[in-house]
Amino acid sequence: MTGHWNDFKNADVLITCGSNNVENHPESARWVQAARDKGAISIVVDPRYTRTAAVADVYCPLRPGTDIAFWGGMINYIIQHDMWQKEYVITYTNATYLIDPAYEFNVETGMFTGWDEEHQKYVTTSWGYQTAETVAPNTGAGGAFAYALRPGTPAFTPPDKLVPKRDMTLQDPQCSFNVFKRHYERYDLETVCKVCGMDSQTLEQVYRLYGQSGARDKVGAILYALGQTQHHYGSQNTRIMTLVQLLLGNVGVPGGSVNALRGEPNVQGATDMAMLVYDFPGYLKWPTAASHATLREWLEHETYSDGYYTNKPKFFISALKEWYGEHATVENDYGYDWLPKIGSLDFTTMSTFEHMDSGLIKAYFLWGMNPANSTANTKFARQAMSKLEWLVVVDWVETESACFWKAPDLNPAEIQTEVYYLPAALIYEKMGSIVNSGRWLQWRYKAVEPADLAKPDYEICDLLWKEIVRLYSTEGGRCPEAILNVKWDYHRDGVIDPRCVAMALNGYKWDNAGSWETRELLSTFGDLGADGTTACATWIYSGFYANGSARFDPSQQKVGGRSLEDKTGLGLYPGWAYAWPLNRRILYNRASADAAGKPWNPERAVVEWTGSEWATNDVPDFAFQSRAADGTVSWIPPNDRAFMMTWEQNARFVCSTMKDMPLPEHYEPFESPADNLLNGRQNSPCIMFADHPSVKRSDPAEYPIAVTTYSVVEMWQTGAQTRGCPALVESRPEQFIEMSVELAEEKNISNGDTVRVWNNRGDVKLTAFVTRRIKPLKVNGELCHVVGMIHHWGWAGSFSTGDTVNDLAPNVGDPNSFIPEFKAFLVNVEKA
Amino acid sequence: MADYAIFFDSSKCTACKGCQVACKCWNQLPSPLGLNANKPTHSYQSPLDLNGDTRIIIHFEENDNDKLWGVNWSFGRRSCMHCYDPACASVCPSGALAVDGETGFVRVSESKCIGCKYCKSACPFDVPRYHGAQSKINKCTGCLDRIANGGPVSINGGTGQTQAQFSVPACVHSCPPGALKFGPRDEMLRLAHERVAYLKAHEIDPSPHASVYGEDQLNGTHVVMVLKYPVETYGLPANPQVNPLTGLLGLMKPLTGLAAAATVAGLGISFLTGLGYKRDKMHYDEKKHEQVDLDTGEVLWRSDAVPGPAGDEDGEKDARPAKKGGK
Amino acid sequence: MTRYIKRHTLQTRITHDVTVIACILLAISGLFVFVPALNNLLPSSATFAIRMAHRVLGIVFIAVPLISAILAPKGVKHLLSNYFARWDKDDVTFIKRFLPYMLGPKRVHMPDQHEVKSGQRLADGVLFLAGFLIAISGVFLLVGTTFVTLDAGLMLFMRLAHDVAFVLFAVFGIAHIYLGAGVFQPYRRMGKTMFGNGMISESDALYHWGHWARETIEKGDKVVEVEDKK
Repeated sequence: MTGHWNDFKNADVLITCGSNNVENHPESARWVQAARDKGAISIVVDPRYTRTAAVADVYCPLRPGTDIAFWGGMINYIIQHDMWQKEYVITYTNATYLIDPAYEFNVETGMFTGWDEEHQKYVTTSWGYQTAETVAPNTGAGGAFAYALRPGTPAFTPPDKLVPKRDMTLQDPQCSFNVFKRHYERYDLETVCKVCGMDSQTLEQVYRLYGQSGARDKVGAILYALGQTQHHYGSQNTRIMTLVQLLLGNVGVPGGSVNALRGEPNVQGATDMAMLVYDFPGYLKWPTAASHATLREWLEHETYSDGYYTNKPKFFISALKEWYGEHATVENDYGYDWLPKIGSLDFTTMSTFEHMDSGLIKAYFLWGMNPANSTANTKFARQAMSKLEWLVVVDWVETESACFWKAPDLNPAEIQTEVYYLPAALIYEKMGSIVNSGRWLQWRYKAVEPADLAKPDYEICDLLWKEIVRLYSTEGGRCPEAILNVKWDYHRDGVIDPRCVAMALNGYKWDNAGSWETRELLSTFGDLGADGTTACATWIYSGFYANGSARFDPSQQKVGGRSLEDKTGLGLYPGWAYAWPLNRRILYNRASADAAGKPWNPERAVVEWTGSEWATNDVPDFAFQSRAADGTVSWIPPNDRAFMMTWEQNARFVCSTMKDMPLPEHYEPFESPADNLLNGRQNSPCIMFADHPSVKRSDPAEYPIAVTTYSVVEMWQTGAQTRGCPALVESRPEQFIEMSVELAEEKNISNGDTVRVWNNRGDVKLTAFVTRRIKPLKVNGELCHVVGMIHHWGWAGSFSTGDTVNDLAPNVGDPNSFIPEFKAFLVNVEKA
Repeated sequence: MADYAIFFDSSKCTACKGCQVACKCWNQLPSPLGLNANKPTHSYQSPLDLNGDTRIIIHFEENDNDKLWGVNWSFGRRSCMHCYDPACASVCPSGALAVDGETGFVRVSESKCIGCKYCKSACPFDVPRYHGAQSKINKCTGCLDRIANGGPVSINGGTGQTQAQFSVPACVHSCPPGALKFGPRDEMLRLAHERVAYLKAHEIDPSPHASVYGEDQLNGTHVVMVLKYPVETYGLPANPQVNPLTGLLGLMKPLTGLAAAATVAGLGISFLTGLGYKRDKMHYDEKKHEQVDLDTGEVLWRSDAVPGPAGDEDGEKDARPAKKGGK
Repeated sequence: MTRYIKRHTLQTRITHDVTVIACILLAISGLFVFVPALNNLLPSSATFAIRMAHRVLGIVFIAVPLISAILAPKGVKHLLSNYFARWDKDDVTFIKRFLPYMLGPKRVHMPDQHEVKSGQRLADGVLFLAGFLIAISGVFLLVGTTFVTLDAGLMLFMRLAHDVAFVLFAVFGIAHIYLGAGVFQPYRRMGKTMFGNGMISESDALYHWGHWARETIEKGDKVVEVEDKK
């Protein structure tokens, strides 16, 4: 998130779409209510009337999987009614940039230009800009790439900047904004209602109320979660919300933003730390064999021509320095060759089970994950797991994955997998830092000793690593340097210590003889070098643990800050914890002020140009000062570069960096009860895994009911933790399917009946909740039944067990994020 | 007496049941431990009612609204209302229930409870429940243990700048949306009236039925509620009444005492008057049909009729003895 | 040599005595619930035990007379016929003189009575009624607090009934003991009738139940002669 949950209180209007935030992120309710106390309007758009809807002002239904149609309609409505924030859009976005004349979207075929039929992917050149001029990189003194010439920096050629053509008057039809505007003209109220299933009056009310945040001094917040992301176009769902927010001038402003509500801190932490196949810590790219065979290729491919990512090599080299320590030198490309490169095979979650099924993957480490119960098409995943030779499960409790052979559909006698269960310590049983939705790093102290044989993850990791190193040093192996050259010195008094890890994450000046007692900690990633003089594992965290005078006392570090001081009343709390990067509380905060640097609303002043300097309430997220070669610092007057993490330093309407679309376009879910009314193509051409035989697409003729899956406040994910808490089980004792009174009458089902829900992939039984909170929708003139299921049960646990609902979800997904389509598919229902 | 109240705003409650679970945790109340041992409720509400181990539940009720979509979903707080004049305490024979002088809450002294369950029949809200072999009362204590030990408490070992109010009930402490508050009752009432005015006048989604509950009901309670929808939809009585029998029951103790005392006193006097009385020995001669005083030989009674079988009481055998008794 | 009349059979005596003991213990145990000051003297576990004892005694209190009645239907009939016998002049006189007699037994003399005195019929009748009331309400309270959940209003009513019955018990029970146990001077030795061998001396019988005594002696079958003790 660019702000924090407590920033919701600054909003004038909030819209929750694709989230049931008060249930699944209960603490968010406090701040939404704080906004409502001040007169803000809260809107909920959801297939069913949730507990979030119950405490909102306006509720609007929609059919699962039609979010882009809904948001596209809003964009069209806002532009038609001239409600957009013109100064913001023209100043801070690429609205005025001219898009390649070859760009086109063909409504008949539902395809953008650039489709490569042979490789089944888009070549995105035509989605890019027209170039006005090419500017060579500045490697001179004070230039962005001056560092590239410093000794110790690996040789690479910084990129040229292709300065785009612009039309500040927005007259040119190829202006990014005009392309964008034209694209959504098809999304009129009537069409959107036909696609999504609500009535036009309710829809227009939502558009009108939210569109009001386009006024200069008003701001609106969008709250979303997995309801937006778990679709095969989930990344585009999130992008279209960003477009709405840019159009209304709501990004970078307190009370605004596109707020991705994270559940457990590990979602934010996992992305920061790159627990994802294609990422390197700190949102850098993991090297691929195709694009980054050498360090030079990586640097040239990944370094931006302008903006803050001109510094990317500093972050990457410093990270390599932390990985390989004294072994990393400029001569050996800082050990780059020891990093494994991603080949042609995909190893994201859904592919993993395909590879397991085909016998490619023979062993599997599950660390705090429960795919035998959580992944899409779990039945297939379990069957694939049963082909493993061995499996290691590291978790708090015996999850379904730890006893996957006990699944009702598997026969233990036929499974040869050797399963090792390593009990992990709870968060209360170990110390360390956590990071929450608002990017706040906070320190947690150990409260109690781990139970029984449980160990903290880092200790388990340490034991494993030491043994691997021992085996490599005694027995050798393939590519031993990659193992033996790793710097693994996170111990204090012989015991692995998260405070040493924190210093590594924070970064320090490299010194071959240094130790954790002496290393000079850095207070900003601005001090990182690409020349091997600094080491830093995750550049974005720099400064969170930089107090060298009390290096083993987290409470004396910024991460341990507990000051409740809030000078502005905006809830920035600069002394509470540490918000990466650089303790910045609101990202893109330059956009909170107008072109002249005056806050859009003086009550929401974050940064302000006084005429001679910047007055700041938060750490500025833009180039606000410059340092001359002689060290003189001078103020940089207001300019339009509010988004310094893109090379344009502007936000993008049309963009060429996504794999599937330059502008979000509505496609139907993989399994949908309706035809696509907005273009000639049913699913996104870039849908992943749709051709795998395991998917077994369900035909709407056989399975006419649209279903969405979700969580409830009483339970967490697969329930491994929460079903182990008797008080929580008592508060939510059974798994249920919610259905409308109309569908229940049709199927002769009464409230409390056990019903069978099935499709080609699975078959589950759960309790029916018959309710008026879900109503059939009118989709393109036809009645469409929608049902919803919670998914927290499985066969493991001592207090409450039930069928695995994720058996039914299709294992197809998004090409950018590889997330499965849990939120919209088809089933049939009958009384059991 | 200081007057405190728990404030519950149904229009902010998200029915997360955090209060339910926090209450269980703080008060160490168990939940069923068997596999699938909880009774399915077929509802978001669970458990369906208070029980010997559950002092608070969130009440769920769906009613039709006048709109095209959604429902009026009432989230109610079902727990002790902490009445001003608690009927439960007035019938409690053991003093296990009593009004707390600091807060006005109905405090529970479990050690005093004798399990008579009088309180259950007196409570207008059907709140008291019982647990254990001795049927000890289980009801909201207002977390007086927390409040009594109140005051800000540092929650980390770090800078000491962090302070959290532990001086509020566990349910209030847990409430994420701030639907629960704890404070002086008049302040809570002021909040409640403000909120009801806000709800009624809301531009987009007005709530014409919004009301304050617990201000006038039963002369006031120490739980003050803002109810967005009609009272009945929250599982609460619109017009709670203490059964008048409760008052009569209260009269019975003095009445019994008085009656017993009067009886004993009267009999005492009687006893004194009887002291020294001595009866003569009597004898009945069944042959002569005469009853005589053995000491004096005096015939006290003689049958006028031919002696007949006993039980012929119908006959007017009005043979009065001249004298009977002693001296 | 003194003549005695057998007044109460063994079964009658056992029934009466067990019930009386139960009744007294019930009153005492009940008081621990009824009087806060009393139950605060003891730890609640003791009070709880007393409450449980109250329930057991309550069952005895109800079961013993009930079983006895089932075993001796004729006795019940006899009892009823005595209690509902027509009132004669002596009865009326008895009632009129009762209070003055109680406050001046030396001056006021009572008319002869049949097997059951008219005063007995009234006073014991109240005890019977109170017994029924306290038993029935007791059963409701026991069931309603142990096995099923009954309507709160009904439970309150039963509590009130229990308490009202208890007041009657308190007043008439004390009076009954005063007379029946022979605390009152003219009633000395009365206690032996129910708590002893069931016999009453000829003299006492003539004093209390003149009509009955003479009739019984006339019939002779219940008369026993006992050697006077030296």
